[in-house]
Amino acid sequence: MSDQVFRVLRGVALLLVVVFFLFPIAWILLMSFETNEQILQIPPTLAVHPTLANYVALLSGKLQTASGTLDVTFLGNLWNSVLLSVCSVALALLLGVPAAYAFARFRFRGGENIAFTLLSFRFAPPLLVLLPLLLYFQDLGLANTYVGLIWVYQLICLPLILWIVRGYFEDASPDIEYAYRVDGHSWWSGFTKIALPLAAPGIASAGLLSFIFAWNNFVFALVLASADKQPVTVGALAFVTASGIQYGIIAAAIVLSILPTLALALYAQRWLVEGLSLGAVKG
Amino acid sequence: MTLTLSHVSKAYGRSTVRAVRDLDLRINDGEFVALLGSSGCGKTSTLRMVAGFEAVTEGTITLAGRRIDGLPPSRRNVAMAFEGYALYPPLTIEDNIGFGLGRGSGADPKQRVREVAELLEIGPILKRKPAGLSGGQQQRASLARALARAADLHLLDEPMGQLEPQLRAVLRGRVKALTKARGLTSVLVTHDQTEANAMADRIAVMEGGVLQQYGTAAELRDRPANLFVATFLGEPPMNAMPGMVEGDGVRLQGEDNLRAALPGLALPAAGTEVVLGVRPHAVVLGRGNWQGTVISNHWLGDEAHVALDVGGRTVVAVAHQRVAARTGGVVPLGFAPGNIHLFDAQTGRALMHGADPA
Repeated sequence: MSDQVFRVLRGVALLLVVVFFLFPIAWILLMSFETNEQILQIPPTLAVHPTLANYVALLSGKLQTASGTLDVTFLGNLWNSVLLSVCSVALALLLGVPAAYAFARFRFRGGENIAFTLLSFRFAPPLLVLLPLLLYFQDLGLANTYVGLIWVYQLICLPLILWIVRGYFEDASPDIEYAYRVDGHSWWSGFTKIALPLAAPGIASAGLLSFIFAWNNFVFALVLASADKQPVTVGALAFVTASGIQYGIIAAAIVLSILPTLALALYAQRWLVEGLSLGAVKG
Repeated sequence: MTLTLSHVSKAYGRSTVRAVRDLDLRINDGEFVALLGSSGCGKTSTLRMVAGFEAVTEGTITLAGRRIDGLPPSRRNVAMAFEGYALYPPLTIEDNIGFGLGRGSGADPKQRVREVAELLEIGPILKRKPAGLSGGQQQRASLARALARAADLHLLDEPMGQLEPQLRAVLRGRVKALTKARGLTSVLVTHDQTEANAMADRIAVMEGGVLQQYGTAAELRDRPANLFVATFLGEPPMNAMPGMVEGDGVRLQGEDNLRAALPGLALPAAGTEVVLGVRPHAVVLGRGNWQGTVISNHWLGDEAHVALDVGGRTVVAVAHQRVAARTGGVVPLGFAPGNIHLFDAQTGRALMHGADPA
């Protein structure tokens, strides 16, 4: 009897948590199919008259407002987001995974200090470093370039990947690599055939996490990029127009910009789950 | 194949402490040698230098006539069983064992895997993956992988630590027989003297990174090179009593002026400070010139361990029958001069053994 009561109560509690977290997203999804007038209606109505106007405006690049037609660069922004995030994560993986391996496997002078310094990049508030960085970048000609932005994005991605992947390398016994090398294989093939696959779940989760952080970054791009290099996070500011805040458009933009990360997370889930089942690697 | 280590030393990092110091060791073709010592004695460091996982700080290693200390592990042609198993997680036990085979090993790999698996009693788990297996099963799979390969040298790092005692005793004999039948040159690293005695042709006892003695089990038992080897080997350990050579015997330290008469031995010069060593198995109860008060008396099923207080010294005796003496009782005890060992009190170096010809 009490068992059943407990089960019902647990169901209710879980439902509350799910509603709490999913409600804003559901609300935004609803808003994205409504016009600004419907959203701002008082009293609010639950009657739905779905319209695709917001999406049409975003994809066609023309937004009709009370004060005339507005150019929307949303698709360009989305492309910038994709380009910046993908390149940043790719570069961070390329640099971070071998570095993580080195920190995990070899003891060298100042190794711990270097690893900690890299982590400390995440302690400093971005605004603290942004202004001096902007001045440097202007001198170097890196301001408002993709290369410069990808470089700065390493502050977000590299420490994350380094520290997560390092833990995975440390968890896997180096003996397995040694066994492989004793069996007649080079150090390099031991790294690529044994160490990397064993750390794959860690690499996948670190890559996904840093992709999300890079995708959601706002302040670096706000300061260092002008309109044509801006990602969606900064681009959405354009919808705060002279004729009012375009809630419907913003909601549709959010929905569209969530999609890539969502798709990536669903795709990477395979490796994350596989990682859990490989948990008994340690021996 | 013959393995030779000459003047090999190992220092980790920039430390001046040597994990292995000036090690000279020669292992003949087809020989089974055990590196025996407590943890931190340098035996595993030695093995890892031979395998190529650690660089040699000083000295040279040659295997089958070629110098290998500069080669990567892949080009040394050695096989190794790991204490931590180190099996490849995605492969079945069968594929793990057969992994290094096929490249010029001659014999049919499948057949070879099956043979070794039968021998180590892991036939039924060949199709399974390591994750679901017990430590003992994984350890035997790792040992099988090392034994299946046709390498110049087989390195076995604590290969049976996780096994049940009964199985361990059986497998010791089988593994030894296999290495002899196939003429494998093997190095066993272990802290278990029973294992070393049972499997090895020769045993190298290490302590503090220094090779203490290298010889057969009988040599180590009858002629220990120093006090460390004497007390490290044997269970219970050798009784060690400090004293001074005097006439044809040793006067032991202590207020009771106890004397051990050792007639007929070529003793060191009178006045030499020595440590007198007698193995518990050589102490005879019931007759002798000494008197001991029984501290404890345990019958272990096939032998009795009796601890006695002899003028403040603790002497342990092992008898093969039950001993009637009760705790607190006084018992005469003694030992034959032929069973004693004398060690230098300062250096611990062996000065003479009772078994030496006089």
